[in-house]
Amino acid sequence: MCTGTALARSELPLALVSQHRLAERLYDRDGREEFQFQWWQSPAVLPVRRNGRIEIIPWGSKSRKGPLPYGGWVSQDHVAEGLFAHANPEEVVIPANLGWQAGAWFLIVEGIRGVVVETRSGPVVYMLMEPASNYYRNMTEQSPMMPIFVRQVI
Amino acid sequence: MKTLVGFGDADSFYASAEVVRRPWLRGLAVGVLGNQGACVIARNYPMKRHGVKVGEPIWEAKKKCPTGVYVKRDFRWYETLSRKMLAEAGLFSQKIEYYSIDEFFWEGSATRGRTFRQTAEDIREHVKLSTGLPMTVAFARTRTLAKLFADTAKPYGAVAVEDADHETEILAKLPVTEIAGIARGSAAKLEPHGIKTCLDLRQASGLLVRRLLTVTGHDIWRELNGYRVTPIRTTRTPHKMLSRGGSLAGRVKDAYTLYGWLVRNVERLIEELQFHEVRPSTLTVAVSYFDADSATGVANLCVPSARFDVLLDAAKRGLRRAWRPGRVATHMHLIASGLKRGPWQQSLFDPADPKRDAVARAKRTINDLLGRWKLRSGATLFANDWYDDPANEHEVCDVRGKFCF
Repeated sequence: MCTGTALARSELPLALVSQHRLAERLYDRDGREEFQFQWWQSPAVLPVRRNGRIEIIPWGSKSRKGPLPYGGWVSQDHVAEGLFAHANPEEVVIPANLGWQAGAWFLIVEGIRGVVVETRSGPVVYMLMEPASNYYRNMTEQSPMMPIFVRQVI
Repeated sequence: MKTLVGFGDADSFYASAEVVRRPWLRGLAVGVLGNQGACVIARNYPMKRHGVKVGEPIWEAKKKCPTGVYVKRDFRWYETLSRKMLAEAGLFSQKIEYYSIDEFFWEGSATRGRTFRQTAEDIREHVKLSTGLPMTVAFARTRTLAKLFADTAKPYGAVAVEDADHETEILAKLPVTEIAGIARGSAAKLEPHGIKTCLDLRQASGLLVRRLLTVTGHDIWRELNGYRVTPIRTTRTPHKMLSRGGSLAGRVKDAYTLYGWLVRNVERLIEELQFHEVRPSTLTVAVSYFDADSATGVANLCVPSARFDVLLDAAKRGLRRAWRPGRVATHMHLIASGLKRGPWQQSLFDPADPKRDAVARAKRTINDLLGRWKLRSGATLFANDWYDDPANEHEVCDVRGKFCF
């Protein structure tokens, strides 16, 4: 899993910050300002690079009753098997400098691969996952799955 | 012209190298994790201030430093910066030794119109400007003294200790364990004789030191007294043995997986033997176990050889002796010793095998052209996960020409 990401303040357009009230998600990490996007936040959102610009999109579903899978993560294999075939899935990049899992912040070079699906209330993004490497499992207290990184192997 | 031994040591090298590549990490607590993602193998000063130690498991480190950023090690990048540092520091001396990936010794004099201290500052600034890496620089009468004084000046220090009185003042404050080569075991031997500090050791009888710490300890004693025992070596002295191996990326119980690792290590060893143009007479396979004592198996070769089939056969014999069926292995090393240098003569026990030679040549050529391990033995498929990660293509032992890790 990857239950949070961080992106430098300078990497998000000011208009987005005010539109989505992201100031509440602004943190200071030893003098470096960054926006943190955590699954526990309400609403959970993620920045997404889509159509040549960055958008802030709701992250997954915290409801077990709706049509969407519960959680913010889906296996790449399940998507390939047609999990979102009805919802016009679109592969995107979730830009991030850092990822968070089980208490550890780890470096992300470019971002995480995600999938945006269309719902009646608008687009929703999920992180794409694959079985965790030995490295990732050790770093994250044996998380069985890990995000798929863009041009990065860990 | 007066010369002293210069010593340069990059501060928190791996972590600093990550900051060079990603300047936004500057000021943040950065920890570099080993190839298993389990242990911190290097950390910068901000993380050190949180009490995180080298070798500490990440689950302990993240408790001590919750804002720390953990990065995967990348020895290819570290080697690039290491060689750049060596080249830049080498502008100040014609005799420079590549001691380790982040440490260099050189024979140096003060730059015209500058003191040794100022020259140390100049070198430090130059290396920082040209590579982005912070380095501590020290000048002293010997290697041991220069290394000791650099350690007292870290981080980003520049010192020159030119006379015995100044040395005495510093050595009196340093425990003997600060000296590279004097670990706790040696310190325990020295303590009953009242030798606790570096100054105590320097002032002790040479005869006593040799009796307690053998010739190696005696050499340290001589260096502490200002006698240069080891000269600056501008090229790596020939290896007496070559070794390849390390962690098995987890716990291995399955014999096939262990065999996959054996073959991988044979291929890595052959690369090194070919590079150094040597052939071993003996091959030792050493396996460490999680739930049993380590074991070794030694196989002698009829004729020194660096051929895959010959070495694999010897390695199999070694593994048979080192293998503890049902036990969980964690590390494996292959050690080639009794290294022979050419020219080699054909013998009855070493018949020419043009087909195998051609296959070996093709394998080497393809890998030179397309990248390491692009063509490898099918048996390594048993340890295949390891090859999926490009970071595993280059380890610190693959950085050639240096004297130690």
